[in-house]
Amino acid sequence: MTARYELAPIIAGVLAIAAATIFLGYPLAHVVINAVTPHGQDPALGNLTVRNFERFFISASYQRALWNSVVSSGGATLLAAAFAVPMAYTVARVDIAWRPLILALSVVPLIAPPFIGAYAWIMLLGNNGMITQTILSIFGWRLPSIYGAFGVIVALALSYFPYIFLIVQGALAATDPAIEEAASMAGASRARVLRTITIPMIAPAIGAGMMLVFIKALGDFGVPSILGGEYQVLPTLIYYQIHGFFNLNTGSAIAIVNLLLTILALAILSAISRRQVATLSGTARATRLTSPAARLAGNTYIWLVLILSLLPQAMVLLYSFAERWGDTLLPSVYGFDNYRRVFGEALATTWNTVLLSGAATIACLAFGTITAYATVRGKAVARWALDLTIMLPFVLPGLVVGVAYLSAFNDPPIVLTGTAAILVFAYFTRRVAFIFRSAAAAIGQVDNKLEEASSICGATWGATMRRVMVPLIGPALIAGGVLVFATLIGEISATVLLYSAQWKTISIAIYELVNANDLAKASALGTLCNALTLFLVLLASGLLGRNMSEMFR
Amino acid sequence: MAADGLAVSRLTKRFLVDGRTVDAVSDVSFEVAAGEFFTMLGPSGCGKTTTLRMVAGLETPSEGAVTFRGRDLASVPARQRNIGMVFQSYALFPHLSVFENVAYGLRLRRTQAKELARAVSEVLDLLHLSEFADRMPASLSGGQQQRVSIARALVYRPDILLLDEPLANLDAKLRLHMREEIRGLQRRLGIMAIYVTHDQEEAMAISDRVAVFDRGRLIQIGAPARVYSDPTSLFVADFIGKANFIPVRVIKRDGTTADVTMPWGGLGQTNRIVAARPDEDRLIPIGSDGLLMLRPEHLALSDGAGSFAGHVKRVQFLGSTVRYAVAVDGVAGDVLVESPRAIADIREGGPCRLGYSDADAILFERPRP
Repeated sequence: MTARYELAPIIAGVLAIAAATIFLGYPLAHVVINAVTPHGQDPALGNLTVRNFERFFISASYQRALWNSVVSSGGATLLAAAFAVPMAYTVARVDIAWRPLILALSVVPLIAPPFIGAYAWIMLLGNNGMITQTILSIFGWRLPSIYGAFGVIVALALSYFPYIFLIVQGALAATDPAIEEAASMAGASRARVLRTITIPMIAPAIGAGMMLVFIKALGDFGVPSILGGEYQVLPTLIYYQIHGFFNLNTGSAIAIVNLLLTILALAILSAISRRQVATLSGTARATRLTSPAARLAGNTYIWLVLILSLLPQAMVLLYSFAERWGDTLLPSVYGFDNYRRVFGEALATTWNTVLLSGAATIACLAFGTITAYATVRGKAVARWALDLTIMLPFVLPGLVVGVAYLSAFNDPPIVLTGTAAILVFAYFTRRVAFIFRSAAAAIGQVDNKLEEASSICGATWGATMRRVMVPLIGPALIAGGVLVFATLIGEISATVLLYSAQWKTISIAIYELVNANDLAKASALGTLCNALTLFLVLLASGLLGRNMSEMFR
Repeated sequence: MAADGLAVSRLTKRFLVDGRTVDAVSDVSFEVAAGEFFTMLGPSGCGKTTTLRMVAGLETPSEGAVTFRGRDLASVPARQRNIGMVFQSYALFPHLSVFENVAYGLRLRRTQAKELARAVSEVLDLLHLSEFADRMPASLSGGQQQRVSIARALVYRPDILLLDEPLANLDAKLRLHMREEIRGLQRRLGIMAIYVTHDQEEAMAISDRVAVFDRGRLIQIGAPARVYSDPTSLFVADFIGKANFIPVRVIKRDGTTADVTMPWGGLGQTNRIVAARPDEDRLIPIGSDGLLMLRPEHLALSDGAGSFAGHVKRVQFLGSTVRYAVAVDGVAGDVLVESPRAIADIREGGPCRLGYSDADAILFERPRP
């Protein structure tokens, strides 16, 4: 038994280092090499250059993209916080009805791929959008264009605000209600308690949620590419450099800048996380505000935000059933025509998505569980690996992964461009940390003594795993796997650089339909994609016996 | 009662649980005098904490009133009641230092900086916390956190100090020490204290008066010695201290005395006992079954004389006392006898006789199953 404990961390360490080298180190090294190699030349010691970065100093469009990335992500973060924090406070501290429904609905924007919602904003707020036309016909006002900073910020904020909401709501729910009671016993009014006790206590949670949104927004490609128009951000700039000009070198340079920005945000996030104040989670329930005024205000705010954030998805659903939609506010003829028209494409691309995401999920499960077991049971030996992998999925914007894989696997020794494998590996890299985390958490909850008790009863290590460990952590693993699979269905930012005609995914099919302005077909595919994702997440939550909202916290 | 005390009258609290209303507290009345140490005692879920929270103003009573110094507190919010409260979880503000935690109530009262510093350091001294003033709560031990929360509750000189199971999260030794400290502090400051606990020994040790709660009702109130020696219900008799319950049948009653037969005593043999206090309610009808309560220290063990026979199953030396577990025919479970010293000729496995004085026995009606 002892020998195995000593062996396990070594196995895990070797596995982790090997995987990190092949799937992360090697591609990222290529990004760096490409970034310092002049376009059109082979990398060599003699021709190292910083030319590719030079444009950030001389080109107005590069500077603008950098600036736009910071502004749109920052703006989206602030707007998301404005949506989420009052909502979290209301859910946690005001006596409102349908709390579970609110928590479940608040997760939907996270589940639905953001770019699917983004084009719905065009249908709502574009030049011929429903809301634009309605306001124009009633008031004679023309709304600001949805294309550009305004639309990108609004769509990003409404897609990612649940991260702040869930973290802050969780922090509020975990604080001992007696702390706020103690403040009012000492003589503080509600407002005073809020200002001097509640907000300072949850400030780190708000900060952590905001940094998470900022990082997600920085890496988002779908929303700015659909709503940005002329408004370029770093991920779209990378895409156009590579897709438009086949310039992997400048693409790599931009990717490095994007990555550095993300790492900076991540450093702030981890500094904030360390300041998280530990509070005792008592069994006592918080006393909630029951006054009619508080209830009315709380309900109004919550449902306004929820309706606003679910509007795009509702729009996609509506549009998918619209057979004729002329100048009227709502479609005049409904039917399944759009679905019939995309049937062939849906079948092929869904099949591709299922194959690619499925393979990546299985790889994540196998690798993530083994390393998690070794890390948790190996005690402190590989703690650093745990910390690193927790942050891993956030560090890498999808576009950066895309660039890295294009750079690394285009030439010998490993040529994967155009294959399914390159997508599977990219997906694996982006999601393995998630499985590692859920597996580590599940294994950590299984008392070591259970394994010892099993072996004292005469079980071999294999029998202990099969009869004790697997049944205990199985549900968590299956749920984690389903969740990884579900979030890969809408993956676009890495896919868009790596897919080939033969391996077109459903997300790419939607993206192409949107770009071709075939919104009816795009809506039908988008609805299928949303429904599949939602179904899988519900399945995972059922397996886990937990709320959907708890799984994303 | 004195005009400077607290009166709780007919207090009731209903909660809606899964669509049904549940009375967490029903029809509770008591008074607490100025400077008194009053304890609400009972098993978990008996309504004692809810009653305390209604006194604090953290829960709104469904019915009844809380009056302090002749003033109805119904319209006074918690923050204006000038009450100090110590929570079971301590509820220290995690983002504030020890000093700032304690100073919080004074800052709200706009105390001047100089006076504030003086008052805080005085109370920190009182609780032996001076050296921790700049520490954060998370870096303190449980006992220290507990003291900070007491300091925070006392610093603004509240009219009443409420303590909700303040010792529940401490280890046994510290619990003994802290309860003496709390009692000493309360005496020295002369402050009215209302204390909630489920630990009957703790309640006995520190209180002027104890109120015993069961399922939302206050069932007995009195000085600890009185509640112990004269429980008015089977529940209190069982909950407070140790007690043996001997099944008997009542065959004759005469005023406050009753004759009972004991199943192990043989047919026709009766024991005449005093059926406790002159409390008419408790006198049970002739012919019905009763339970005779006898405290372990009121039973005498010998190898000769005694009311009934048994045999010794186990002898435990507990240090200050010796405990005998005696099997008696007709009594489920062991009859416990405690003696200050070991009794000669009584050995494990051997026969014995048990005796008691009539005055120590209390007769209760036997609850129907």
